Amino acid sequence: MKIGLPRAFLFHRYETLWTEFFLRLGHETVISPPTSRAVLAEGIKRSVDEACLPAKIFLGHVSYLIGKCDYILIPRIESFGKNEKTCVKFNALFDIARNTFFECPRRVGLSDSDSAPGAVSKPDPARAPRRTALITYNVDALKGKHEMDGFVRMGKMLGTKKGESKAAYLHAKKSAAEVDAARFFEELKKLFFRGNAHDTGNQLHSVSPLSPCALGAAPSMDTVSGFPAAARPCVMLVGHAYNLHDAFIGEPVVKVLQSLGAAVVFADRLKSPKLTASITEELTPGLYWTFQRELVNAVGLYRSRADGLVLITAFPCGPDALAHELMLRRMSDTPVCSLLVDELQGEGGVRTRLESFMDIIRMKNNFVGVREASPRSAEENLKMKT
Amino acid sequence: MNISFPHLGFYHIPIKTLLSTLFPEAAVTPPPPITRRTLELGARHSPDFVCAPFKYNLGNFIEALENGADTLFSAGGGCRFGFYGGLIEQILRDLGYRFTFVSLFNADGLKIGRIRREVKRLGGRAGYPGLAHALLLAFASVALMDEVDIYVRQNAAFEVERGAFDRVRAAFLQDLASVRSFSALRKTDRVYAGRFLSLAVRRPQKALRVGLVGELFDLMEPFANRFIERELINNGISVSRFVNASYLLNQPKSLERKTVKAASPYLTHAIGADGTFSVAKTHRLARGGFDGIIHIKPFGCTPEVNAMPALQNISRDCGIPVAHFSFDAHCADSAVKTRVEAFCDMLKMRKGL
Repeated sequence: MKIGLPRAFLFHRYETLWTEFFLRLGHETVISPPTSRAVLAEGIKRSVDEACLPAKIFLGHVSYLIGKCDYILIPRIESFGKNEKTCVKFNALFDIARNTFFECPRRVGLSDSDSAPGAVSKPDPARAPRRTALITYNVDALKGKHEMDGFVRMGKMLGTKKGESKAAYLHAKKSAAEVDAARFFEELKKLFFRGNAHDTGNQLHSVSPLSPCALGAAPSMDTVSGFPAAARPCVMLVGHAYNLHDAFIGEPVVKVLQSLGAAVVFADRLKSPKLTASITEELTPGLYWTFQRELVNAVGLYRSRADGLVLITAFPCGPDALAHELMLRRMSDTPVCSLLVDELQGEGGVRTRLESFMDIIRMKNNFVGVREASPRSAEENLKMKT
Repeated sequence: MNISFPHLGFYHIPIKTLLSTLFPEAAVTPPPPITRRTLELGARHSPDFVCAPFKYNLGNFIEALENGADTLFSAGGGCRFGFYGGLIEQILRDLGYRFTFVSLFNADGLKIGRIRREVKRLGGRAGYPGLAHALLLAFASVALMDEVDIYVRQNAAFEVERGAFDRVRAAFLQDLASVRSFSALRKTDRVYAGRFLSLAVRRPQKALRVGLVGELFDLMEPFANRFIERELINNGISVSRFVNASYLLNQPKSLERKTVKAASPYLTHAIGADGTFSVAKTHRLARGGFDGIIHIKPFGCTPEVNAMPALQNISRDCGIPVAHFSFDAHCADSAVKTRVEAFCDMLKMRKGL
């Protein structure tokens, strides 16, 4: 069967887990392409005005996948334990998609008496041999619903036996942990050796992530800017994975920062296996959103290695509004630039703000002149003007 | 010690009674009533797109501190609300105020042990019998207030003498403020039950019924929803609202599952905070012969935004008009008034009045 994975929201967090799980069970996965203007426009059309930007993008991706696969995976995640909650958006995504896309036959059926004619058309096997349905798994550890149970149930829906699903889940979980570890060390390498600014992206190194050579293999000279890698400012991008790695929200920011000669470190990939409670409590007391706490944790542990932080928020993110504000108020030792991205974003505004932010970092750290001397920057400036 | 706490509708009356029983030596002064200035103060010092209740709470606290309060009580729970306390405290400290900040209940819900610990720490009366009496009296007062409110909302539109219901209600609230025992509460109940029932009501054959659903703060604080209930009543509509303090205080553990069931087939899972309840209630009211639904939320309230696709489907499937109102720090009264009037006119035309 073909399983569609919308490249939005939790895909950026669970990519390996999902793809490996379905691969192991012998299903094909269809991943929607990176967010484009068209996907965003479709998402905006399908969404409630006040929904947050990533949610609009998400619906755009779901809409793209409809008709191209048998099932679309939309998990429902509420909590991972005490004080480990998610934004309520993730409680509702499945239901939002169900209510928005009527062309999806509902798995949890709407009885005929409940619906007006036309609201839900009965799947006609002759006319529509392949229709897309939604599939979900529920994670609410506080109520005893753990991730593995969710995957097993999902496997059952796809016609797999319990043992097989369990094995597939464990296998996928292991590969996901490996990929996460590789990414973690990749980011650490950037943080400590300032290298590799231009090949960050999604590439994973063929070197075993845990071997010591992965850590030690920092280039001594940056081939692109022609300057010693150690002299490059290192900027930590703080934001949800679904913002940082989205082609519309985060990637333009990353590109601009890299063109300005910065080594970009993704805070979302610096998640430690165990959260350091004291750090979250110090920076953001009482915080109970897991995704947010991971970021705060990374900021608390590694910000002294970075020259500056760029906080990325998508409009109007509820948890970010509170957590970022509190973090900003309690952190005066690092330069911070807070970027708010909305659906009308133009690159010019982002570039202007990031340029001045980079200038501040350079002045603060006596990096002055690096940018002017860089052979690349003049070229880029020209490109910008044309 | 001068204690203060944020406003929520008229609930400052039982809360004040409760706190002054627990802290007999302290002065308990609710913040001045919410005005435009409260909202402006709150909005000025808040992050931009935090929801409106945060701005109101912060404004209340600032005005309370200006009035000399030194101990602030706060509550939390649900979606973002559980995280309010930490940020509000930080903002107030950054503004240079000095105070003790007490968070009575948080995301875990109401725990009597925790309340007792906090009361004891602040040097209040924390004996179990006294504490239990004070809390139960507060709950009973809240229940009575909600009962009165429900009656007023449903009938005030049809009063014969203009303003009679409001007058009796004001007198009731004034009397409630001096109630310190269950017997006094029962007496107030008896007296005002009689007075309310004796008010003449002329209910037309086809009275329009509108249900209010949505986010709890904006539903319960009349200033925050620009007095939308009053507006509906003035348009001759019987208003029903199911979110009140009694609903919040008496939530059994099994409620969530029941609510999700009532919201089915539009929802399969809880969608966070009161969003599920909004959908379930709308679904039930749509079947129960209501003429229209007004959905109220602060701008950017995630649980209620989550509920909107389901509400729109209910509206289409059951043929009931649903109007969505979002409130933030900037809101002109006339805009709300215009929309409410148009909504009421549309309902009247649908019903052939």
